[in-house]
Amino acid sequence: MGFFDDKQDWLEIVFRNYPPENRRAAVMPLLRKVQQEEGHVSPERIREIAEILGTTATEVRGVMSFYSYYQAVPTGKYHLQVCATLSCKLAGAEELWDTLRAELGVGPGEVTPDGLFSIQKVECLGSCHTAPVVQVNDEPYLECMNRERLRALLEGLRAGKPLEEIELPGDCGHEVRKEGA
Amino acid sequence: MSEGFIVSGHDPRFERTLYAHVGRPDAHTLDYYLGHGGYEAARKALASMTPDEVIEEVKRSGLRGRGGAGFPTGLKWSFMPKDDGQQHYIIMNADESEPGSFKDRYILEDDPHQAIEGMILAGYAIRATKGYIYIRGEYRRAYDRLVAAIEEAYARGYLGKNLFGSGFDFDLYVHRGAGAYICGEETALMNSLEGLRANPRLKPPFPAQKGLFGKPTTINNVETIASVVHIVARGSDWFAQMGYDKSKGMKLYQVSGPAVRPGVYELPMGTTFRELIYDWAGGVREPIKALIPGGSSTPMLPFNDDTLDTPMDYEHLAEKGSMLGTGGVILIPERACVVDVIWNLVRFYGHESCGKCTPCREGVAGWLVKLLGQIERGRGKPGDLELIEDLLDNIEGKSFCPLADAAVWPVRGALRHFRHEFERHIEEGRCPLEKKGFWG
Amino acid sequence: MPKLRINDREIEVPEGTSVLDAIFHAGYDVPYFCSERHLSPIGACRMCLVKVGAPRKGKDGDWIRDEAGNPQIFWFPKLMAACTTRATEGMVVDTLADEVRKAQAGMVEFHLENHPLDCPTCDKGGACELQDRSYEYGLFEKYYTQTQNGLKTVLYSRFEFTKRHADKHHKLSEFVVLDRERCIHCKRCVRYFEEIPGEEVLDFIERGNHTFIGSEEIPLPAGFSGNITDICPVGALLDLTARFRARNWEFEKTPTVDMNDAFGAAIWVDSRSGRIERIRAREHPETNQIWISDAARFGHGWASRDRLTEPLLRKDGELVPVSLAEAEAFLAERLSGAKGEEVGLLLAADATLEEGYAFAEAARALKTPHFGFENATRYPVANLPAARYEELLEAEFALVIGDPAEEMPNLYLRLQEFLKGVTPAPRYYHGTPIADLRLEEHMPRRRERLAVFAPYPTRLHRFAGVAGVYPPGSVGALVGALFAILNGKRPEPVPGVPEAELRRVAERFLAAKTRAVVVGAEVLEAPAAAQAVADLARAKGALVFAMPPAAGARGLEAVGLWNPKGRGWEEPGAGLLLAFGATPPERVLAAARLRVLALSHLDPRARAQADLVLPAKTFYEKRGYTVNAEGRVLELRPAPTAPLGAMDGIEALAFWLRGMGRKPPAGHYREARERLHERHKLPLDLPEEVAFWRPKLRLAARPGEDKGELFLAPTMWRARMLADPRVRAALGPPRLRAHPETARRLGLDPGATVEVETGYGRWEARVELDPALAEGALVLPAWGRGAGRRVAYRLRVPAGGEA
Ligand SMILES: Cc1cc2nc3c(=O)[nH]c(=O)nc-3n(C[C@H](O)[C@H](O)[C@H](O)COP(=O)(O)O)c2cc1C
Ligand code: SF4
Ligand code: SF4
Ligand code: FES
Ligand code: FES
Repeated sequence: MGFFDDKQDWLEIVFRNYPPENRRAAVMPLLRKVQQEEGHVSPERIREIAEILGTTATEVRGVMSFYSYYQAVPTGKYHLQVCATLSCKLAGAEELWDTLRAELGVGPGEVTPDGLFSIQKVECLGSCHTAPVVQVNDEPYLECMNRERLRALLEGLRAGKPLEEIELPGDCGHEVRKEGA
Repeated sequence: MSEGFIVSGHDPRFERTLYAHVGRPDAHTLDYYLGHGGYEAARKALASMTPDEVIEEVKRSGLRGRGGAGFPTGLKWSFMPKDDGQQHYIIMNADESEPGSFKDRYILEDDPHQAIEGMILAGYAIRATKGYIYIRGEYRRAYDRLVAAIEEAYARGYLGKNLFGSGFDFDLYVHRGAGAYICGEETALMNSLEGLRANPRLKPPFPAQKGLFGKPTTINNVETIASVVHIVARGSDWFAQMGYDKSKGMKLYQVSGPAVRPGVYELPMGTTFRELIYDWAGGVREPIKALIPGGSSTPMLPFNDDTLDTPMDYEHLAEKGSMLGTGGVILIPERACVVDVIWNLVRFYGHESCGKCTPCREGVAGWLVKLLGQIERGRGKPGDLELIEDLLDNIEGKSFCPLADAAVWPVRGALRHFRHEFERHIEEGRCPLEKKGFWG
Repeated sequence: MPKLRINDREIEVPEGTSVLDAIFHAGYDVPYFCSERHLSPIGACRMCLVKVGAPRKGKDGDWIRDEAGNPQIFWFPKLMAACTTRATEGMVVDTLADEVRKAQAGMVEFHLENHPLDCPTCDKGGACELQDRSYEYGLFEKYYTQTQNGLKTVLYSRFEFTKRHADKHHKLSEFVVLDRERCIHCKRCVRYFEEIPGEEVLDFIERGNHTFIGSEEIPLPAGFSGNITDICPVGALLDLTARFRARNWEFEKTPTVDMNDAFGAAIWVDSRSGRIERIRAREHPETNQIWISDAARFGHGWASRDRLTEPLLRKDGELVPVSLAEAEAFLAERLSGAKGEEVGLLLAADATLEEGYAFAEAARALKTPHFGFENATRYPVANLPAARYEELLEAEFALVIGDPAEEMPNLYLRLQEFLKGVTPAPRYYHGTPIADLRLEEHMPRRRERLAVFAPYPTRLHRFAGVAGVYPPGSVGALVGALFAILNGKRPEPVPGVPEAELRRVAERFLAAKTRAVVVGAEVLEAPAAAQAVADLARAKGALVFAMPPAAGARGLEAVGLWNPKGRGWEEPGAGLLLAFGATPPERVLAAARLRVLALSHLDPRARAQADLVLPAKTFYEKRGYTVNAEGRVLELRPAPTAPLGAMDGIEALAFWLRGMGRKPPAGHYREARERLHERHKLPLDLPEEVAFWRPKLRLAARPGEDKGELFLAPTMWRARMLADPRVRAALGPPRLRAHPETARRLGLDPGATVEVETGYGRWEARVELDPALAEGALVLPAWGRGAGRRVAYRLRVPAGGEA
């Protein structure tokens, strides 16, 4: 069965965002949907999307592979993305990454045997003042990460807690301001 | 301090607008927004101003694009054709991916109606009845709040048909990115939105002639468009009394790195680094040796009195051999190795290179990254710095879009002010800084 | 027309000219990789950076002037990519400045950084733009030298890291192989597919330094894929038919014309040691530009395999090699006392004008009714007016009845150009613009300008505002209905095509200032329909593009090989038969007492039925002229690959006539050409741009009507090409397409292999269901024989039973 077969209403809504003669503009939302629900975008899904959009699988793959969010290989239930750019690096992103690798025993492109975790280094997430930053799947950021907060996160996820219910111990260790003072 | 131009956040005449509500509970809801004067600027403009009058007002304000390049916004809007019978588009660039920048995010998270109101105004001015907000894919909370706000706005008639009874229709859509810095470049953004690979497009034709879906289009940064709300509400004179000559209005500055209170600060254009870092961000938590003034592509400056007393605006920073960029200040602590810092940044630009043009794909993403990595790992050779400088010459100004330049500038800045660190790496065959694990 | 200065030369160029073209127009050189003729300029390779300055206008509208009163030149702060910069009035371009030189050398160095430099084993070596440009603009002593052991050498690259490694033998199809390491990311191939045939089957994958060329549509659809091997500036995309066959400088390169279809595409025949190794497109701006079809390019394998090298004579039931003298004696004996009207003279579809002329003259002299050429249609194409291909670009609306992608692939590409709204480009001293700024990536196709009808969905259907599929056999009804509407009459219904659609077509047709009608073999086989098209063109004014199934049809008909009485090639009757270039149908051979075939290859029918076989030249090896579908006279030149003793049609005919004891109209090619010229006043001395021969003819149509039920769909591929296993592998078994209901009725299972026999041959075909077909329709590829006709057939399912 096609992934989108039972999502015709959803497709309808997505297509409303673009001029009818530019159906292929919807390629990114469709890819995102597949990525969100299946953890990666398989060649079959690429074909399916191409068909829905009236374009070729080559074009869809060209677009898909351009972005770092869409994955060609399966990811874990929780795909942990660690920002590795300057501010996060200066705030310990490398240690964070190493800890994560050690704790989970996986490298990029791999999934833990229980299917729960996969990891990826990503570039600046736009939260440099709360570095280092981790994003789980497509969820809001986890900020000012350190070893303790990371452990608590993994524990919570392993215990099957929803992300927003997991308490991360401590805080940034410094004030963070975003309001206009 | 109460005469002349406002160039300090301490000036009693200065009042926060863009971030006035950021961080307040429920500030993202329509009720809150309406309770704080929301949509009055749009109502006023649509009721009593012609589109050209809005453009004139923006021109008079001296507002320049806050996305990094600083192009005069009113002038850009005036490039849009008039009465050509075509669909026009206004796009809000919320791709915010330049390392060190995170100002747009909170507008969208905590004050999305401000962005929507700005889009209505901009759309009205350039005669666009459709708008897109291109938001980077990772901004999940901002996306959720934005979509909810748009729904609310539609439900209560602030979007859709015949806004404020003016006869002006405006539809607003949100398109999510998926992790590609280049999508912040306006023409790459349009390609991305059209479902193509996000390589920058040729200019001309400029977006105002042939933009999104081949139609006349204007693209502006979130902060730029949000600023318009206040320009219309309070008048261009109010805006123009802030800042220096050609750098007007308020600006969202960001501080990251070991400041006491890193974060976003809305201050008048031309506020000094010293005021930003010490007065507002509470000073530094450890010794600092350099700062990156406006997002990672701007050349770093040594952390000294001269730099600290520099007003943060387009002209003064250009005089110092750097740029205002996005106003994202990154503090580089003493303990950090500049070679490592630069390698990290060049690696970032290399990773984000779209691959279209040779100097960026091969020069930045291929060669420069390898050379800097080699030096950082202590395998540099005599002559490497000269080679790097020659490569920079062969890249700078020769690429298709400014991304490659954005990789070149930080290297130039670092070599100008911290060449000795590079030399020591090469001479000693290792990083001279004791590298302790960050977490001890 | 802006005037500008390139270094020291003042030139004037048309509005919209790129600086790159201006530089070449001025006679200077500038390196480039990403730009390519007919493709959109994208400014990606950055090789063409030059110094550009321009005067500026002051507030008063006049130029800002220097002390001397001349307009002051403001130099752009950066070097500009010449390909994407528009030449403007007063511009000054410096291509020789030191900074330009340095930028070029730097860019060559970047290009070579990850290039494998495996030129010695690369088929592109010696014809590689990267090699050439590296020598010309790379290795720049001034910047890049090193001293080793006291020896100063020039460096091609200072890059000392491991190069990027990637797939070196990535087969994209049976015909094209990709070497990803050699790719320099110029994007020509990607743009080609999107912009020229309109198939997005190749694209960049990944981004940045990891970017590579890839496809999810492997094997690439055979049709228009081969052109990428011509335009790839490096050896990243190569022609597999020619893989490792020779170095570029070893090829004998013959410029000639493709005679597989009537378009008249210009080709290079690259041969070595008497074998054709490769066909490439030859630039001909007015016709094929720089493109050819895959059939024209990759379908040459047959020509160099199993060639007949000597006469074969049937002795004791077997064909055995004999000397020419023995063959001559045999003929003299068998033809002595032969009556002229018994003789049948038949010529293959790819014959030259001279051959046609000789055959026609001989037939006239012999007073025989048995003469003609292969694939002659019922309606003579020469009766239809001919328009230039370029004129199509000036039309506002085109009505297509047929399948241009298969019938005349290059016309299909012209239709794609028409859809983009591109008009013919200006010509410069260097020819076609290299960076034509009117072209853009992803140009919208103006579908509303195109209506397409065919008995099955064609490649063009996807691009048409109105696209219809009618049942085979209804083309007359379709044309009739359309023309009734155009003439304000009530149309008869056309099965499968709603009247409203036809009315839309008529409306657009009438609304357009200039319009074109493109018709294929099926229309030409239905004389009433074809006549209606001719009348319409005359009455309402329309450009007509007819796609006859015989490459030489227009010319052969005009030189007198038109035979309105009977189907010369297909109708039995002649007792003494000479056929040149192809083997006539079995029944024609069976009816003759003497069967002499001049062939390049022995086919099963000839092996079974010929009395004498003479070795013949293929069209690649002939000298002569042809008239293409637009009435243009094109010259064929011989590739040096014909076996010694292989004859052209003129020689074979002379050989035959000498056997009859008659004087041939021409003993050899040169004589035939002179006679032909005397008789028809061909514009042989004019350059091909303007050499047209369009005699006004009103030849009688041939009687008859198709009665069969199997439609033979035109194909760019010819049966003879299937001798090459590579072609067979690429095409797979022929597809017998049927409407699902029809298949059910005939007991055909999808995917099943069945044997189909028609008067043109026997095929093992694979059954394919196609709901887009009309109920009752059965469609089989013609592979060059009987295209556009409906024929009787017999089906055998493999179990043995008759289906
Ligand atoms: C590589 C690159 C990345 C960019 N990224 C962003 C961005 O993330 N957000 C943004 O607003 N502008 C970005 N820009 C600038 C935009 O191209 C464009 O100038 C801007 O959106 C115009 O808006 P403004 O006039 O309001 O500044 C980027 C430019 C380049 C060359
Ligand atoms: S500089 Fe070139 S390769 Fe780099 S992002 Fe811009 S267009 Fe792409
Ligand atoms: S394969 Fe050839 S044509 Fe295609 S991008 Fe690479 S170098 Fe250019
Ligand atoms: S560097 Fe990690 S969020 Fe900006
Ligand atoms: S940039 Fe490639 S030819 Fe101009």
